[in-house]
Amino acid sequence: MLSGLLTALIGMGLERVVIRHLYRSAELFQLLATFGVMLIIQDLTLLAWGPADLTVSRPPWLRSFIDIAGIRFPAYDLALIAVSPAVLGLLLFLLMRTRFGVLVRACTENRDIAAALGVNQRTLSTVTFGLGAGLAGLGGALMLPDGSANLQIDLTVIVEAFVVVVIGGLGSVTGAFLASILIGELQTFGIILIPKATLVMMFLLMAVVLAVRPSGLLGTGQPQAVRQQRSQAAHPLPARVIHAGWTLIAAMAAAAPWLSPRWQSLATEMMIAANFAASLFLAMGPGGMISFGHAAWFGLGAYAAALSVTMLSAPLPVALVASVGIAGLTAAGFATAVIRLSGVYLAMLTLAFAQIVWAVATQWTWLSGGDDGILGLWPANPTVFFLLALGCTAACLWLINRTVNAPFGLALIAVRDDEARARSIGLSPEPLRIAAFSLSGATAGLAGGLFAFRTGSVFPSYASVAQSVDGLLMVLLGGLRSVADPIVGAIAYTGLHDLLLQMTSYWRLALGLLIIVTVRLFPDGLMAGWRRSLS
Amino acid sequence: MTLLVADGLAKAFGGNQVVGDVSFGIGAGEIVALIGPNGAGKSTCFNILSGQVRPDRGRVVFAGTDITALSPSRRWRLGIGRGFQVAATFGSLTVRDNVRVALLSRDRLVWRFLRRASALLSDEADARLAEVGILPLASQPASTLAYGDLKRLELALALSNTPRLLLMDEPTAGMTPPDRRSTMALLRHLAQAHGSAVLLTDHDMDVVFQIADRVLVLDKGRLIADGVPTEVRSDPQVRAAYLGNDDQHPV
Repeated sequence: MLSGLLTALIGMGLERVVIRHLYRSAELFQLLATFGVMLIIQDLTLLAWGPADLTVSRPPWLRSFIDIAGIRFPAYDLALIAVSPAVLGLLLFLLMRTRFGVLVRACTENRDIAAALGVNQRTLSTVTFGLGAGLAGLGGALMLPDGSANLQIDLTVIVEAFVVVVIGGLGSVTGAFLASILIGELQTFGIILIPKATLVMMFLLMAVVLAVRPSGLLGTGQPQAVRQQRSQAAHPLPARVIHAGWTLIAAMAAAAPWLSPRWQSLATEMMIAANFAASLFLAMGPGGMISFGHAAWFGLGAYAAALSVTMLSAPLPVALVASVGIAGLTAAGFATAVIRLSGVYLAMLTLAFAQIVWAVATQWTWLSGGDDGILGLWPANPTVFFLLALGCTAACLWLINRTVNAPFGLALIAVRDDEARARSIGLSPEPLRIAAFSLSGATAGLAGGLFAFRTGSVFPSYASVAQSVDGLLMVLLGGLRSVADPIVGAIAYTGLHDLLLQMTSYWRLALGLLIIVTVRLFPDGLMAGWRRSLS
Repeated sequence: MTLLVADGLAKAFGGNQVVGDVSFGIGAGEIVALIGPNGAGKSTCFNILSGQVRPDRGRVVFAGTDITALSPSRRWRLGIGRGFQVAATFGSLTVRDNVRVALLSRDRLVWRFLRRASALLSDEADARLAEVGILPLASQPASTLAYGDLKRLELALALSNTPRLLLMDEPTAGMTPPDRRSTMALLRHLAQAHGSAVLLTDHDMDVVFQIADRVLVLDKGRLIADGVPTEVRSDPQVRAAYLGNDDQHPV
């Protein structure tokens, strides 16, 4: 109980200090800020309690066992079973039957109208956010005796919670309850039935549910998609920016032989990041398709390159072609299957697919080496590889920029801005989106392939949530207006990451703070802020 | 000859018969207004013609082709342009690019990945903008336009493939009376210049009677009058439908 109250207070404080100021910015940037908060909390916990797992034993009065039908059940588990319907009931009562609940729901529908009607939506938001945080804290405390408090708890839980909410249907508490029971059962029995596929099960379930009921089990209709600022104009790159880009690339190529291995390595990492971010930008910006699982294509590209080297002894360029091909084709197939979904639901399915790739990479040890990964992929000549990576990146960025400013890009933006209008001037949204998504997947695959050779190895983490989040952070940090934005975001993010890693062991704390400050100062990305300050 | 034939259209939403057995025809180059009190089924009728809604019964034939089951984009290819009740444009594109993308679609140039879009069809796009009087705004993002200009941009989009039939859902909704008159005059002028027939809905009867060659009146999902404005104006059934519904625009 105490932990619930405490987290509720912390949540309310956070809302006041950080989230409050972001209601006017696009939802994606709010999301970015909460990721910043997460990084900070991760390091603060490390600072306060150290890296070791903390365990709590069950309270003495619940340590006994109770016989039901001849089987002994721990009293604590039975208590847990009783607690969640109770919380569900209370929450439903609160939302449906009280004045507070009516106000919260009114605010969800339309914040401005609610405010115009005299609802103090600021306090309301604080309390709601606090309530959410408190419930999460309570949940965390309750599961402690069955697990342990550790530093990696955050991403696992947030992904599972996301999945539960999406399966249940956004806005339906009962749906979320049903979904969590469903997932619990699935995981328990899944382990017995198909132990090899446990990691995939949850996401397969989500994919099936969304395919059959696109708004979740009990969701009503598609809610407003996660929208970026609709009004923001797409900026074609001015000629001088393009010239500056080519000059930079030429300068790097000329300087290659004299760069120390460390600088070559950092520059390569930045190029790969730029590649990855630009490909995500293509899907999210002009394409209007938010991808929470862009690491899927990155990971697929990396494994495609690694396997074509180890199994087929392919030379490096051929391996990179395999990266592009495999990632691009898989992305095309995926996009064709899910193209009818939009907004959060599409985002969640991309996340699900990335988790499936990650799970396969972890569990199919015979193919991928599992957690040990695939090693020994070093390119023969680092400088040649550096030049190759530079060439690939230049080609990739050129292609994405060209595509965005070509008739195809124009049509893609039109479809994003107003689908009905686009149809009524003869455009078909689906093929345009599938093509954009495939191209995005293929270029992310190239980034993955390059990364495999840069690090000389491939691990399942290349397809992990963390990798996807990195991409999102780069894109959102830079902005979504032109292809230059994500490139700047990628370079800034990679540079900061590298710098902070050297300076302090609490780089998450520093990075998180930086992200929040950036989002506060440049609510639509670094580049938009830069353009504003110019004009 | 008859350009568009609506034959026995019917549509119910959840047991509520919104449109019941409506038939009419539109001739080439004719300007036809579809009017009726609120809830008469205008919008549903309109959406059946534009392809947003599939009718339960009946069919729509355009220039000899049965288009009842065709998507909005196929209808556009056959020569049907449309405007939306709330002006729909591409907010993040410039005004010129809005028209350009429609022209690119007309010329089937959309699947070009490496050509620069800004080098294509600029002159024609500007000519289209001049036609509706918003050429000076060409380089602004559409999202920054005032509502009247947005409506003009939409008209330019609807006319981009020189359609044989133009469907306009309340083209003057949200405008002041003087704006309405000038917009209707522009619509009439451009439709005649491009040789397009027009089917428009509206609830401002004064404006409608000025522009339309023919008026169709819907009430409770049924067609109760079909004739030239003067005829319809004096039709007792029409008067009853409007007065009985306490509409703020009595005839």
